[in-house]
Parts: sequence; C-alpha cells; structure tokens
Amino acid sequence: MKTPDELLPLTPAVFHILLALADEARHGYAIMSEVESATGGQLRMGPGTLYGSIKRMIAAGLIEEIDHRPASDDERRRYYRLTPFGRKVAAAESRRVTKLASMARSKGLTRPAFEKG
Amino acid sequence: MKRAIEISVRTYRRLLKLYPQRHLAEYGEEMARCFRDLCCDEARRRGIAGLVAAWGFILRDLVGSLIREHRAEGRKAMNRFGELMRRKISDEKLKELGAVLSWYGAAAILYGSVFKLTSLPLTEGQLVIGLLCAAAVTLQMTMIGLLLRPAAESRRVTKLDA
Repeated sequence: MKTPDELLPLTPAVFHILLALADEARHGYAIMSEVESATGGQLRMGPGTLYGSIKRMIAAGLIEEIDHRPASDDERRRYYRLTPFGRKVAAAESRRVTKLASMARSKGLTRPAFEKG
Repeated sequence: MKRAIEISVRTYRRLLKLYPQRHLAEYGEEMARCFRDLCCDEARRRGIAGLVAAWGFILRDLVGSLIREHRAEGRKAMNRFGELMRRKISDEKLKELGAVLSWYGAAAILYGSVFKLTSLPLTEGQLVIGLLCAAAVTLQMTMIGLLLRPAAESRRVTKLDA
C-alpha cells in the first residue's frame, strides 16, 4: 500500500474530484457540476476526463462506489465517496498546496496585480 | 429542443464506441447519462446556443480522453502480454530446462574428456572402460532428472490449488 505522499502532487482533476467528494457522496454529473462551480468555471471536466479519473482513483483506492443511493434519485446512477485513504491523500495535497501558497506569499507574489510597482 | 437533445445523446453514444471496450462496458452508460444531464442543463440555460457550446466542450474532452484511455489500455495490454509470457515460461520450467542443459553439458564435457584421452597412449580396453563410465554417468544423471520431475510437478499442483 502506498503512502499518501507517494501520490503527490495530484493532477488538478483528481484533487478537485477529491474535494468534491470530501463532504458527501456524489454521482458523476454532480461531481462535474461541483468542480465547475467551486472553481468558478475555471476547471470544466467532461464525462471522458471525469470517468477516466474515477477509474484510476478507484484503482488507487482513493474513492469507492457505494451501493445505497438517495431514494429521490435515479437508482441507475452510480455514487462515489472518499475512502479513508483518499481523505488522507486529499489532506496531504492540501498541506502541500498551502505550503506552496505560503512560499509564494513570503516572496510577495500573492499581492493583487495593481499593487505591483 | 427535446429532439435536439435526443439526437445529441444518440450521436454521443455512437462516439463512445471509440473508447476501449472495457472502459465502455464499465462507464459507457454513466458517461452517456452525464452527457444528457449536461445537454439538458445547457439547453435550459442558453437554448440551442448552450447545446452547441456543450458539443464544443464535449468534443475537446472526447479527443483528449480517447487518447489517454487508449494509451492506458495499450500499456495494460503490453503488461498482460509480458505477464502471459512470464507465466508460460514459468520458473519451474526454466529450472527444468537449466537442469537438463547442465546435465547434457556435463555429459558433453565427460565425453570430450574421454575422447581427449584417445590422444594418450591408451589401450583399447581402457578407452572402452572410459566410454562405459561416461555412459553410466549420463544414465545416472537422466535417472536423477526423472526422479526429480514428479516432485516439481507436485509443487506446481500445490501452487495452483493455493
């Protein structure tokens, strides 16, 4: 079994799927919509990218398919959720990104563009 | 608009057949459902312009993911082929082949040595005794090989059972 750090850095698509699944189990289109709204439309994933990533993430043990679906939803949809390992990987990637951001901040790179002299 | 969405989904389903068979069997239905949801949302928001924009986005996604999936499938196929070859020429078979070759190698050295002795002033009787000894050793090696073979076979059966 790999350690979370061995999978870092994650691709943007994988990290955003993990973030989308961090609070609840979702089906494919809900993941696509969540990623698009969370990134303000900057990252749009089509079904091809999404299901390719899902397949590889399941193989890596980051997410898993769940059997039970909300009663209100179409029962043919497949729902996915984070595994405990996936949560650890998401946390490790978040720490990595935070460290990078603080490095950029310490070098004055995070100031708004209009402040630049 | 509903008809336009239906035609779009039907076309997308045809395009999905370009994906590797296994990927299609596993996720094809879900991908088509996702596409339908996307088309419905875009059509509701922006009408036919939204549907056209959805197609533009989907085609880019399709080309990129098709390349990725076929590359991944190709890698898997190569790995499977390697594994198959490795299994066909199993460790046991390699050991057996090595043992047989080493026995025949040893026998060849033995015969060579005996024939080399012919350059020495040997009597015919001594040469015949030498050749008989070499033949006896070869026979012995073959016998040992035959006796060891059932043990190797039984080990293989145990492995398969496990």
